[in-house]
Amino acid sequence: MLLFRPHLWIAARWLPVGAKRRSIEQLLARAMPLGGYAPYRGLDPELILAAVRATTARPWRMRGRRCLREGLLGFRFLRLAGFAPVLHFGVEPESVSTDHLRAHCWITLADSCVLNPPSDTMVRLFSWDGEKRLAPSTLESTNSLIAASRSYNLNGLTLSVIAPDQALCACLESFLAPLAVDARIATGWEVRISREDTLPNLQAGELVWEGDLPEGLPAVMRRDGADRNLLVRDHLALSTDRRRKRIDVVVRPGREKTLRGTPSVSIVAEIIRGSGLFLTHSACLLLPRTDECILIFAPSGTGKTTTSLALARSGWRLVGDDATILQMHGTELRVWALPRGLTVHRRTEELLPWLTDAINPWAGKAEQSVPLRSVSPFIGHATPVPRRCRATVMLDMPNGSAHMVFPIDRSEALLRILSDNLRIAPDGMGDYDRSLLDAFAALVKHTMLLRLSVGPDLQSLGSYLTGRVQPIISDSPAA
Amino acid sequence: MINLRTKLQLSPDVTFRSLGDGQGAVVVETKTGQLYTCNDTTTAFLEALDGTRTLGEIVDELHCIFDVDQPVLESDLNDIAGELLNNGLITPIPPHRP
Repeated sequence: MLLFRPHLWIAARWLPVGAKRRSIEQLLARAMPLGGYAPYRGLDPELILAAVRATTARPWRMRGRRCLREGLLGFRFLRLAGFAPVLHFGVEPESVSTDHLRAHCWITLADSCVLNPPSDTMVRLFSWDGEKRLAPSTLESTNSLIAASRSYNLNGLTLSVIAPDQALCACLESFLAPLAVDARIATGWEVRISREDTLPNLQAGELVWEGDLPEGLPAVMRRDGADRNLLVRDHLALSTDRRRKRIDVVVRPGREKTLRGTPSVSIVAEIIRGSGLFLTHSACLLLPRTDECILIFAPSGTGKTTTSLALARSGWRLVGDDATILQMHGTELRVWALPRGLTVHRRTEELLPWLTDAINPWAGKAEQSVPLRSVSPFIGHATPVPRRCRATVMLDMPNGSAHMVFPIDRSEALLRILSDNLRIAPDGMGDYDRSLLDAFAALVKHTMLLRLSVGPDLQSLGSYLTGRVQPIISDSPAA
Repeated sequence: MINLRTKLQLSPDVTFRSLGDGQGAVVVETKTGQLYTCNDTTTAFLEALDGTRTLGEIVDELHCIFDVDQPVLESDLNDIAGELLNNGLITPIPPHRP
């Protein structure tokens, strides 16, 4: 990497030599590195392009063609960093009939313009991907073969996934699909996925956690400063760069399915963590006919999904049943949930027979993943936007007689929340953990707290809980 | 062994969050994640531990807050301090030697 800037400096002076005598094809060929040579793999494209702009700021050749000068150099060095840029050429239609034809050159990376964006009126003549010219009409489909990208807007927290194909690119779709946006978002977090035979060595840093993922795969998480890395042995490696808002994921060929499981949750968790928000293990629902939330906390496998579905079937609206985000909005707490699919146990279907129409046959399994869209025709659901939280419910074990709610002390509630949500690394709590503790303390201080034990009649649960919660929060100010 | 002249401080590997309105606090051991709940008296005691005051001075301060006889409060806080010390949540500050 030390050679990058000297190399760039030399190339900035070498590329334009003889430019006046050369055809555009010859210039393009000069800009293309030989073979798959990519010594600057790992460099940030923004850093590369900033260096290109700085290096070409005071040209001594091609002075009248700044965009071409920057385009050729930027294209070459993005290639040398392992990217697949596309160089585009266009003209301003109004200038065609004048003596001064206004042409322009720009670069896109994964369908997003990264250098010298054209004007809205610019007409693209052709594009070049390093091997051949591309007509404008064929460009989009060809780009999708080079790289696929998807962008999401998580209530102002934006992220783009860039991958060599659509299948890898869709790794976050199962729980972020409702938050997808059409246009590529150039700012925000970037998740860059590649498929390589050899995983990077992620042995540096302090051990945070080592063990098996829920899928049974051995994994190690390490912390390097504020950044955390996850290695799923022989499957994939995930490294976070919080300063650059970037997550790099390397997946071994044939192991793509692993990415869709727990590692995809880790990706979103790292982004949420790196953005000062808090991901909690709780369900988020709206009270009937209101825009106010309650959160339900309970360890895995103790009835959170069943309770959430029963409530959402009877007037409440489900935002998410498992992954709720806490965010401080000034001094106020706001909550929303990742719209991820539900993990439904067989017992849940027995308790909620209407669920049969929304799920697949069990085929011997004890639980299955059910997309939200499959259950949404049967329940009330709401968009995952930040809202006030008015009540926090601690779910007790169900009972065989009737629904029951009890008061609960703040300290007892916080203890139960922390027991399921605070994970301490071997080297102790970090700043994020302390902030998480503050957020949970604010939650229990500013919301109505209760314990709920669900009885056998799930059809009546919605009206029962509404009757207990609604009158109290109607009389109390919002958090 | 502690007495009224002992100065105490929160252990460096401990943090706590007071929950207000007479609802006590939750104490967290930052190295292990061990959690404790505590009542209002213990919370007030933990909040008073600034590493400069003696146990006797803290008793005097809290006597102004809690409606309880001083000997009873002194005995209670002595018990609380002993329990917190045993659990490693607070530590005595060695006397300054010139």
